[in-house]
Amino acid sequence: MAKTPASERARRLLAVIARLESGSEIPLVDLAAELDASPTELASDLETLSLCGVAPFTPDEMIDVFVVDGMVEVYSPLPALDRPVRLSMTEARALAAALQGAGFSADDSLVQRLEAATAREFDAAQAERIVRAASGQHAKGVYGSLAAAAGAHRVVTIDYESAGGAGTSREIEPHVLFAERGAWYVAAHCRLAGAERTFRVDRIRSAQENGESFTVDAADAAPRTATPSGDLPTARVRFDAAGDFSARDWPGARLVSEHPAESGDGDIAGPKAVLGPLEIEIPYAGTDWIARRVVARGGAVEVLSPPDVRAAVVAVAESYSG
Amino acid sequence: MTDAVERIVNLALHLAHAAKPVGHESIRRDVFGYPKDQDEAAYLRMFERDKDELRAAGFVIEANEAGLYSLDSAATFVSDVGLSATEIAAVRAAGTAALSDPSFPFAPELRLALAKLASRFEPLEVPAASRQADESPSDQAENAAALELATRASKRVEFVYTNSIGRTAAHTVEPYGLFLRDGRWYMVGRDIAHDEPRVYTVARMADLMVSGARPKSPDFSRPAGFDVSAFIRLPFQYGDQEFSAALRFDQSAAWRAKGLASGLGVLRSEGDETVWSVPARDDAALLRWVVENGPGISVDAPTELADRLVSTMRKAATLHG
Repeated sequence: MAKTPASERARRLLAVIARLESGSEIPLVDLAAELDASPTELASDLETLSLCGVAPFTPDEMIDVFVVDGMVEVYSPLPALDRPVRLSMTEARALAAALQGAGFSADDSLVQRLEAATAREFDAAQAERIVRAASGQHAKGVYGSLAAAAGAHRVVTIDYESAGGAGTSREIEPHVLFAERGAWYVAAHCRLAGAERTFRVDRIRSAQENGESFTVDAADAAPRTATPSGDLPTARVRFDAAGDFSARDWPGARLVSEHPAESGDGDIAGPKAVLGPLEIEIPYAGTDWIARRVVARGGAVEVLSPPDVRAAVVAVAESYSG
Repeated sequence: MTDAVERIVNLALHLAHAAKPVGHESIRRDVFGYPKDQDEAAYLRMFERDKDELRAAGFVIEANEAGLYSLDSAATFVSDVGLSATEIAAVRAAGTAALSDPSFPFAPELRLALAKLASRFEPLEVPAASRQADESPSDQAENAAALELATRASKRVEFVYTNSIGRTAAHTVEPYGLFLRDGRWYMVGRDIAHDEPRVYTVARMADLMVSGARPKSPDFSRPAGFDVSAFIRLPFQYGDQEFSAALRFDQSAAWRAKGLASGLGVLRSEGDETVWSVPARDDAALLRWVVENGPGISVDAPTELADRLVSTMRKAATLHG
């Protein structure tokens, strides 16, 4: 493995040095993970840090940091640099891009207040004119409320407008927030449904903690995808010649009919678009979701099974046609 | 020999600790790590490099007329950010998710940013993940990071590009900006051969090279007022013939209008409802968007499109009835 350049190692130490308050104890593995360093490499760098200080380099002018039994321990106040350094221009741009991706643009008060922690010449609005890693926006406060509740394992009451059109108030135990192709979701145990559910964050009108807590196991907080295919039900769907099937639009889709341009059954990899009558198996997490996507393609796509998805398609279509 | 890390950190400590501006002679004497037997020119080169490292890390180092150095404390150190607990959780979730995403191009810098902010935030681990790109996400991130650097430095880039109909050609482009949409990074820039701004899908680039000529001098100037968002389109905004569409968000959906509009077109309130006037170029894609993002969204104009939405829905209902 290539050795990390000294400049990068120095920047890592300078980024965390203000956290080394006298008496603090930080697990080495946690700090290493945060900095994307190996514990061994970080321990070595912290040993180097313990040699740093200011003239005349007497013990009270040195950085009193040690790694003891896997813990980073600090025994006396820092001689200087006890306040965090502002984010450099590149760090500020990276943070702004991450926040854009979560729906916080430069005109959001959260981003504007974070400018107090960035290089003075950083201008979030200007940065956004050059790079936009944007997702759609969410109702104000919803994303933060879900994040705080997921982190602290607290129950949230949400007002949710589903794709099926039913507005419901639900108590959920949010396990993990995740983004996929521009949309954010929260995977949660829904007390109304009595089961695990995935909710699109931009369909949540409000989110408010109700004061209750919940317990989680590791599996609950594991990363998710919006379209896991393993244990989801599947619908068999027929695309006609004008059906415009694209594997990118139907993640996890599986070709089940023969087609002149394809050879046999199998996973459909990549974004290739194919034409012609096709029968496809599509995994779906919500009946409303697949029904709305089928209806959106007019009469060019037909759900062959199961019956409840066919019925949902009719209901969505009739909501427009009367 | 002293580790360069030790020397750079010692320099930062010395500047932060100094009560008054300091000269490079005293720095050489008081900062442990500068070789005492080094000749003056070599020392000064090393000192300049170290200052550049500190500046890259966010330190604002000033030199006065007498050539003495000091740290601008107010410009260097974070003051109170004043975020609420839910806002801090939002930053943590966004950061954790981006760092988990192989298509996020700025992970090393984001990691440092979050490490710095951690001392101002209450500890909270927020489970979050992201996968914004579905096609070769790591390759997209690598190319997007290089393009972002080229954009900031105004350096030309060269790459081999395979377009959507499979035609491959070499391009030289002045990159102006980048955007992410629907799982793909795109670059906007002036193609030298065509002398016009074009949009390129980053995932379709190969052999990307950033111009190395005169690395500290820009190759071009970005047009004044450039805004990459002018090149971002919704799925129904691709096509030959532009027309004006008006979409209505009823009372149940009006609260979603701003987010769905993504800053495009014009939103106007009509009582409890919202009307979105937006240019479109693909009527079928527009109808698909209306239904997929419904319920509560309908077409006001063009009226023939509103009629077609109803007839198309009847067709779908009949097919499944």
